[in-house]
Amino acid sequence: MLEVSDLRVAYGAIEALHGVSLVIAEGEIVTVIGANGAGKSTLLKTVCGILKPRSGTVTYGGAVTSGLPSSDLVKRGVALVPEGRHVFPEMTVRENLDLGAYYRGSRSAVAADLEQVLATFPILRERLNLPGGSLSGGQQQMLAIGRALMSRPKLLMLDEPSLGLAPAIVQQLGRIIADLNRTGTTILLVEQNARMALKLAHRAYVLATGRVTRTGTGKELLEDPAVKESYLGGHVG
Amino acid sequence: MRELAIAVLAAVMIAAPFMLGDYQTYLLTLTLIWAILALSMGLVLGFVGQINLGQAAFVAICAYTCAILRQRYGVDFWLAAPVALAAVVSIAALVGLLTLRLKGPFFILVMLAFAEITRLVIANWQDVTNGPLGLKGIMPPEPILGLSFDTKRSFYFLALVVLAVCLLALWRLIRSRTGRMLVAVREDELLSEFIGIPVMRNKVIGLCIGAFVAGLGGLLLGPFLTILAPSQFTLFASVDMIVMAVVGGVGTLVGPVLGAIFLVYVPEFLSFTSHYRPAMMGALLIIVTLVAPRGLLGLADVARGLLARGFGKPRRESGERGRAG
Repeated sequence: MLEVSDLRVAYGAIEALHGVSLVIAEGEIVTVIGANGAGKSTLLKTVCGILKPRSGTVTYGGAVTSGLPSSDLVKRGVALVPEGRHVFPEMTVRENLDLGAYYRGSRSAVAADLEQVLATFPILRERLNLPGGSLSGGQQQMLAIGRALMSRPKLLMLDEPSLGLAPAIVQQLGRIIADLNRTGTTILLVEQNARMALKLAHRAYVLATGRVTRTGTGKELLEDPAVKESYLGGHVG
Repeated sequence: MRELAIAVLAAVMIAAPFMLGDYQTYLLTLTLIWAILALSMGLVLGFVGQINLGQAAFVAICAYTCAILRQRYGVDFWLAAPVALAAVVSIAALVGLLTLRLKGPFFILVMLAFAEITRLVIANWQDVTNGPLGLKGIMPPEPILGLSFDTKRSFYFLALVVLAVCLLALWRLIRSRTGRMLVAVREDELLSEFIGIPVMRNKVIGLCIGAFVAGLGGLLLGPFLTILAPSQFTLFASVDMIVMAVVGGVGTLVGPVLGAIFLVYVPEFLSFTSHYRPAMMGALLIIVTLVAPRGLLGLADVARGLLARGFGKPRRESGERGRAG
């Protein structure tokens, strides 16, 4: 479904990705773990068309998409939930969700999807007419995911969704991601919270300073001593 | 309650010219035109998130195009007006594509340059614009649908209808998906791009809507003053629009209208100080930003809150304002 090959991305003179390759098949949950500054967000921004690669390609659904603007990728079914629970703080929850479907013509299909999203996140239904900025951190994350779902993505990319959330909320989020995957959404999950991500993922990549240093199934990497040492808090658990 | 207020206001506005003399009707018409211009600046502030020092150039381009078509080529006002509007919107789109990539001070500076270039072209293209002397004797619009506009009162109603239609159309736009997208881009450009909203296209659309409304004001300005000259379209014209939008309350539709009323009538009472108008505008802008950053509408909210508390009622939420447009 998605193939990233030998991707190099730079901010001015500084190269952040030094030739990253990865593959995601339809129906998978793939996670990319790595420390701060490893290039995880850069990778996602390039896949969804916000950054242009210096070299290498992104192929999605059989066509090269690197170089296309983000609005094209959304229409092709790629949605990003950006890092830091980004919502429009002054718009209501309903307006935030509706913006996720901005390019879709069919009002009835959008209304049906809104129902679906509200069924997934019942807390948003209670707060439909409140400004997005008034929600708690976890609720804003739900809203950001809900907004991405409103574009009916085939590939949903999440950038550190667990950041700064209470453990109980992180668990709930994990269940929701697994559910979304079961109903047919392919997922690319980027995380520092490697344990949660690796448990969820079918396959995983480890990204360090702009390169893929390890890859395997989620289970393999959970038991990999080097991964344990660096990303799972050493020997503990 | 709100419907009642609008109905009362409409009735007052319709009755006003029948009760006032010619001069007061003239002042009221001037206020309406300024309100349209201030509204156009409010739109650029609300949709692009930038002040636009080139707004007066949009007004000038539309006003001149319409007047030149009429005076030199004998085109009917009602035919010249849409052509002039199309011209100003195309120019705004072109300028927007070139300048809206620029951030912060650069956009403001380039638009200032655009305004000055426009003004200099008008001042020097003597054959067409009659240079600094300007175009004189601009006639009221030709009669249409059995209505003629050759009295002060009838022209007042024309301006009133244009403003009312603008307000209604924009009120609807802001509540539409297009409007929300425009506001989203203003609120958080990066996030808009993340969720796949074509940011650049929306900013250009925002600027074009602003230019369209500014053009409407320009169309009225020529026949109203009967003269158009480059000296009317200096930087200070754009600054006046900014001051009106800010004094009235940024991010609302009613704000610029209130600002226009305030800034037409207050100098009128202080007309002996007209020499110092630019300085007074500057001082007013500073005072408003320091003391009442949400403008007259913000002050009204505060006053209502105080009153409600004074009568022991719970204080009303004032958070609904300041959202869009």
